[in-house]
Amino acid sequence: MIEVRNLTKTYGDTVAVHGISFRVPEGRILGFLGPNGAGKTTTMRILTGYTPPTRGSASVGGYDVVRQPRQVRRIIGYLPENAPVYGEMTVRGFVGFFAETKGLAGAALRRAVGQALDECGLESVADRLLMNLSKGFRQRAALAQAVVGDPKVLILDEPTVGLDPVQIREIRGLIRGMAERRTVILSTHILPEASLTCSRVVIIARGRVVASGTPENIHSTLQESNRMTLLVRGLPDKVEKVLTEVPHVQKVRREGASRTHEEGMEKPFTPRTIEEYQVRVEKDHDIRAELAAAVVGAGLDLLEMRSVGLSLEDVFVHTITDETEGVRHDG
Amino acid sequence: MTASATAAAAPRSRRPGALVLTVFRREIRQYFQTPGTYVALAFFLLLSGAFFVLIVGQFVEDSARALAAATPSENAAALNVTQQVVTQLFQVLNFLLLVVAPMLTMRLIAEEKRSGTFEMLVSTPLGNWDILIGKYLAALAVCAALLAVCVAYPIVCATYSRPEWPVVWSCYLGLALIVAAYAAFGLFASALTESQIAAAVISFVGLLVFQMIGYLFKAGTLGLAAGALSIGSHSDNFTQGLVSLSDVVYFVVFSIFFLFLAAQILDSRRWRA
Ligand SMILES: Nc1ncnc2c1ncn2[C@@H]1O[C@H](COP(=O)(O)OP(=O)(O)O)[C@@H](O)[C@H]1O
Ligand SMILES: [Mg+2]
Repeated sequence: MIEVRNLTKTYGDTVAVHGISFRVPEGRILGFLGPNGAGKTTTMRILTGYTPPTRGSASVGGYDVVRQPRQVRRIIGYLPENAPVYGEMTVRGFVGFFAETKGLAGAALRRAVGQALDECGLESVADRLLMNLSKGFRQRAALAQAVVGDPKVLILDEPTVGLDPVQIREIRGLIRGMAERRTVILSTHILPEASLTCSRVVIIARGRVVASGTPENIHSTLQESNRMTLLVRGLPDKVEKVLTEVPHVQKVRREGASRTHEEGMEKPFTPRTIEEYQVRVEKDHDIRAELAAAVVGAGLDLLEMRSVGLSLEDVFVHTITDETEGVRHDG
Repeated sequence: MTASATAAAAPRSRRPGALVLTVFRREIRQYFQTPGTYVALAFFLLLSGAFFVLIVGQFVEDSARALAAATPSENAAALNVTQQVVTQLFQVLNFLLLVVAPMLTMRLIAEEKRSGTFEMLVSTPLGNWDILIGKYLAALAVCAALLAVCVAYPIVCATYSRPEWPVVWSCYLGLALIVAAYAAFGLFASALTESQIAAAVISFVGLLVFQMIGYLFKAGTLGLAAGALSIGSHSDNFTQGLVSLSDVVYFVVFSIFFLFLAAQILDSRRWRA
């Protein structure tokens, strides 16, 4: 239903989207996951025909977004980022206006508006002005605008950003309900949103697809490492050096490293300092014994060691961090 | 059904023009809801009323003085209500519209771009022209309401004198054409920016330039060209009761031209880097 092929979009020297490809089959809900600035909004704007791609192509419902934008706009419902609304309109008037733009009139329009208001839980505020409503209701009204007239494809840009946890849960429920009959692509920078709401996830960072598949799928293929947590007594610099030299260790990070610096803690490190260290180990290697031997062999005290599986969250953070190394600092 | 094999059926709008009407109705409602509309209306009505009183007062004074002192031929000139009141009022209304039209059009596109609803609007089946014409007609409707109120002035004149009605009507037609041009330019300015204030300033200054160029350059071919492009030189005839085809065509073409430019600007995001 949605097909994106090798899509690239540049703004001057900025490459917002860099050769991404993915497909959303009919009736599926795709989570488009990435940190801020990854290129999610740009991709969605290309899908709605708002802005053209620099290279590559995209189609929605079989229509090319560049060559057949009018046909595309007839079958999509779009919720732009930040859910803009006409504040001076009532919820009903607002949704009704967008129903009219989709060619509805008379009884069919009233039925469609009623349905959309019902679907988005807006009946209680249907005749209030949007500017007097909470962010949650405005977000729903913007969603109702996208849904009204029952478009085949929904394109939702960060539908839950700026909402409180209760509202987020409600909106997620709404979207899941909507996806039963429609093809949905929703973007988010929050991982649980993608893994809870979507059947498939595409992770993008810096304009490139870094992973895609079902949430479980991504989890296992991306889990190239295990994580160990060690509690060690000794000079942190020395501990880090010793741990890093153990074979198959990818990365060592002292918990709270940046915190200590930032708060300018006066207590200097001594050989008696106790710190927690996160050690990333290559997948399929059990090096607990080697780690313990190295620590003890260097005259340090190993107080605790445990193995921590990576959550999808960790995978997400690591994936996008690897892509953006140098931009992000630990901490 | 596979996505690429058969394109999904896209519902079509039933009547042509229905979408224009949809945009038009929303904009009219928006005008009623926007405080700026009332500010612009109050500004226009208060100032035009005040100027009317001043102009009439001056006319009465002049007439009285002329009646007391002068020869009959001078009387006739002094007592010409058409020359003294109607054409002066035309100039005043023309200038007030030059200020008010940008105030009424500044919001139309700039505010939608700023708030983000523009992106929503252009992802609907509405075309650029549906949006532009709907908004333009709404602005024209409000301007028409302003001009309708101005009917009061010649009617007041007519209660104590006899204005030349053909001149009154040609002035009216002139103002209608002028305001259509102002609104088109204002809509164009509103499409240029995300800031309402910037849009108002651009349209006010731009229209002022179009008013003045005829007077700024008088000599040679430059003067000729400036005169041909100037709003000012095309509105003078209306105050003489003359409706010339070239003036009418000028304002119609001026309006279409700037609507067309506005459409190009809306489209430009598709080809601009
Ligand atoms: N209109 C624009 N002009 C210039 N740069 C832009 C524009 N829109 C987005 N960008 C840049 O493209 C990158 C991707 O932005 P965006 O698609 O908004 O990311 P996301 O929605 O994932 O946060 C960012 O670096 C952003 O600064
Ligand atoms: Mg975004």
